[in-house]
Amino acid sequence: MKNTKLFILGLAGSFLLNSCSNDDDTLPELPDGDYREGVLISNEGSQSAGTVSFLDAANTSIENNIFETVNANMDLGKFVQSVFFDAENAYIISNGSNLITVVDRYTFEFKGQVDSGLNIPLFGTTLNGKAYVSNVADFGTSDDDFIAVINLETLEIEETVVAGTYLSEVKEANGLIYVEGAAYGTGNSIEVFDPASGTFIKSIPTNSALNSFEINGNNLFALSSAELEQIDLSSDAVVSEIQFSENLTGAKNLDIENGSIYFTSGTSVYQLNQDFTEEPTEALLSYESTSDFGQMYGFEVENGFIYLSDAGDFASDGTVRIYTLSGDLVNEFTAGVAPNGFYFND
Amino acid sequence: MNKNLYLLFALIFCVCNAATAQTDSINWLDEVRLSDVKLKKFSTGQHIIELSDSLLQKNQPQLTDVLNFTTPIFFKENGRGMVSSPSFRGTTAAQTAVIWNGININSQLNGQVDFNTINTTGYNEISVRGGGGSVVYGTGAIGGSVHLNNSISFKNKNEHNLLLQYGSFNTIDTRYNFKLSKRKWSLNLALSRNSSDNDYDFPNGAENLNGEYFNNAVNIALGYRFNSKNILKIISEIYDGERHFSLIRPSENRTKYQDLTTRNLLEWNSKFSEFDQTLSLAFIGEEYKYFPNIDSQNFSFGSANNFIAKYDLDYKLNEEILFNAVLQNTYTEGEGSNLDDNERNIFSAALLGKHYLNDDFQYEAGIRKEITSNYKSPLLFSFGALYKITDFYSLKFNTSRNFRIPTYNDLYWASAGNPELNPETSLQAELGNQFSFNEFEAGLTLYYNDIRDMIRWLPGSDGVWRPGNEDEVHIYGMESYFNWNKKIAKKSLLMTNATYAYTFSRNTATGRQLIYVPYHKLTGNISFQYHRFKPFLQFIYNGSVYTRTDYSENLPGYLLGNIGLAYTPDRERKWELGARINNILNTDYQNVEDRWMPGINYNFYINLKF
Repeated sequence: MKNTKLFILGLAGSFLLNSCSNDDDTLPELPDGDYREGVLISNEGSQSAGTVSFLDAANTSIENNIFETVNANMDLGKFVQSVFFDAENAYIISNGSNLITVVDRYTFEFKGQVDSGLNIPLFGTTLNGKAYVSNVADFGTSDDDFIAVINLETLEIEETVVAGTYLSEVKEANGLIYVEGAAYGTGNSIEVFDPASGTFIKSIPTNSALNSFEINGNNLFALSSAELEQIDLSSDAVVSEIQFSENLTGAKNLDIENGSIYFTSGTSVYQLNQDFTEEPTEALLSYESTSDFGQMYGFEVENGFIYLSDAGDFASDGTVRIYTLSGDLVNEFTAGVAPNGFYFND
Repeated sequence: MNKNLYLLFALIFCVCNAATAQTDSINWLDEVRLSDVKLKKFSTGQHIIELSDSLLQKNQPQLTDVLNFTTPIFFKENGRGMVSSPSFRGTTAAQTAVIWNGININSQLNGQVDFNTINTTGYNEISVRGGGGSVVYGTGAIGGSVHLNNSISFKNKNEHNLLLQYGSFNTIDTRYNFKLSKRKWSLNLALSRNSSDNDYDFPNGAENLNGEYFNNAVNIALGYRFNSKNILKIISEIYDGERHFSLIRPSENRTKYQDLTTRNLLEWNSKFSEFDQTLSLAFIGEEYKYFPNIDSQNFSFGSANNFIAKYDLDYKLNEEILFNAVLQNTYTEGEGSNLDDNERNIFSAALLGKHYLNDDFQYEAGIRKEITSNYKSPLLFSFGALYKITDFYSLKFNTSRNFRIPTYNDLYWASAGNPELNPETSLQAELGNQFSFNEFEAGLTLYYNDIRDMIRWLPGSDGVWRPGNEDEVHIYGMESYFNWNKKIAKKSLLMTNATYAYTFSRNTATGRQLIYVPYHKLTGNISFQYHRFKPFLQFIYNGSVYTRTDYSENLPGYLLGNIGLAYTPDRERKWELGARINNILNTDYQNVEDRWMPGINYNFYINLKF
């Protein structure tokens, strides 16, 4: 897609030059770097450090292990969990090494790291020069899970705020930080953190065993393996819900794209409209997994494509597949060990 | 193989040529009464490597160090002194049985033994037998078995032995042995403490952080002989250890792990007419605590108590035919942070027979069946034969069906255990050739092993890891060894031994070699006694191992060598001073990805007998 766009721009440019002989034609300046306009794929790793792969925007080629390629003799640490961005940088979280590695998001050159004060970090987001990162701390208790507020200039943790519940996925919306009040299948709330006051200002109850959530405008969508809820953020009231039948087990990976709701169950992807009243009867697509394990380890819908990954046996490289929104396979690649997330670098 | 390896071969060759005579450092003492007499009687067609206590003293006290340089077993070590698990004949960590005085001590929780949590000070002898042994030793004896034995002696003896050793990384090793025996009774006491800061440098300049460890062990063996036909034995040991688990990166949480193991055996042996019976009662306790962050007091734990009652009856029909029946009941109770309280009871019966057809041919056969409500127990069998074709050549054959039962973790892990698991089973056969001329002995064994229903933990569709009977593995390979001991002059003695193993261990679904199973392993030991000096050289070559099931990553092979010198200053040989240089080639090596082992390092010791 990158080349096509350049080609069109070139055509347009020559047309403009030819027709007007005007010398103030300006091509929009694209930032430098090999990894602009494409998809970053986080690979958890297993026995050794996790990695990041890069899939080009046209979904035609993949480059694995880009961090170690660009930055010789360095690695990202154990269990690459997730990636978040600000305008210039990508922040790569490794939960097994208590590390956040900061790289230029387009060149992937190493810029720094947050390497003290974290305690099993999972997810993060940025807002106004700060990052907000969820930490599990002790696995055995939900009492000490905390949000680390990180100054992105100094890469130091400014403060840590304990939530009192399990914490995992973090999203920014409407100037607030929404944190999934559940981890590893336990917990039933969304915790709302106000960056201005540096405190949790409220807890929105959801269905139990929450595993993913999305915010779309003033609506919160909360998915657990057995239930999907829509919650109105102005009243925190449940406005609609579906209890899944036996046909839909192990629902996870909620994502909303262009007004449609997507999620997975087993090796199938399902789609729903936002004004849902009952569960979808037919899968949008299904794929064959060589083992019954590590299915749909990563899942995202973006720019008209469905991206999913399969972690195989967790001791060898996993696969990623790209489908159209109508469920046709576009391409399939081998990524790193246990690919778990897709991040769109545009 | 690399240049260093060839250099070592060249060195061995030179040393061998320069020398000529023999005695045996690895043999059985006559007066001893081992608890594990079965090993001698019922190993027809199999090869046993025997390591004497003098050999044990030459190495670090951990079982990993003792076996790494003397056997074909490959060890996966998460850094020096950290968790160490074996791969014997291409099998997985829980498929090597560790037998303590005849009792199987593999963990009830995970089925394995961490070979860095066995301090060898207390044992008089360690034997290693390749191949199946479930008929006699039960679960886990698939790749082979390691036997830790205390012997009881009724010779007049009053002997103290103190070994003090200091080495790099502030490693302190203290061992004290006391043997006191008379005609009627015998006492053997061993105390040891081993500790290390373990702060060695990695090849990339970083330091091994949070790797410190210590362990204390006490081992007592008491024997009382009522008369020539009745002997009572009590063997008891406690192992208490704490290890911090070393970090890969400084930002990681610092963790530590504590083990407390107790092993107790009461055994009464009596003989009457053609019968020889042994009644044993054993209690084996294991307990661990894992601290995921040493800054916090929180920990997870697991413990299992194992009560064993065993009755073993030998019947000698005549000089040629021996029958043996073993009844055993094992009751286990286990609990842990992630395990509900659970108990299980396993009753087993085994019947063995051995026939010495003539001086040159002997064979044996055995069957075993277990009765338990926890899993479906297969009928196990073994058959072995030995045929001495000429004075210098013997042919051996052994075939057996063996198993590994699901562990407590497999069955009962909170919300993930799978009570429907079946045991892993193995059907195997081996053909051995043994050659001996004078002071030279060599052997070559070819084997095949078909293992089914291998238990593997994998994450399910809901993200929870669960065990299942997943894999089928076919293993074939070759093990070879030679021992050559030569007395060169009156006070000079050369001892050499070497092993080489080739292992092809294939997952049938993928057709690929199992990860962390090298194709090649070579070990060698050369020691020389010249008057009061004893120089020695040890080396191993471990071939490359795959670390991913799709072969996308591997760890390179490496050659590792140690040299040492011992000197006895006094004529009575009551003192010995020694020094060792470990990893003399300063090889950068790993057994597990990202887990560097130390470079060149040193030990000094003084060994005092009084």
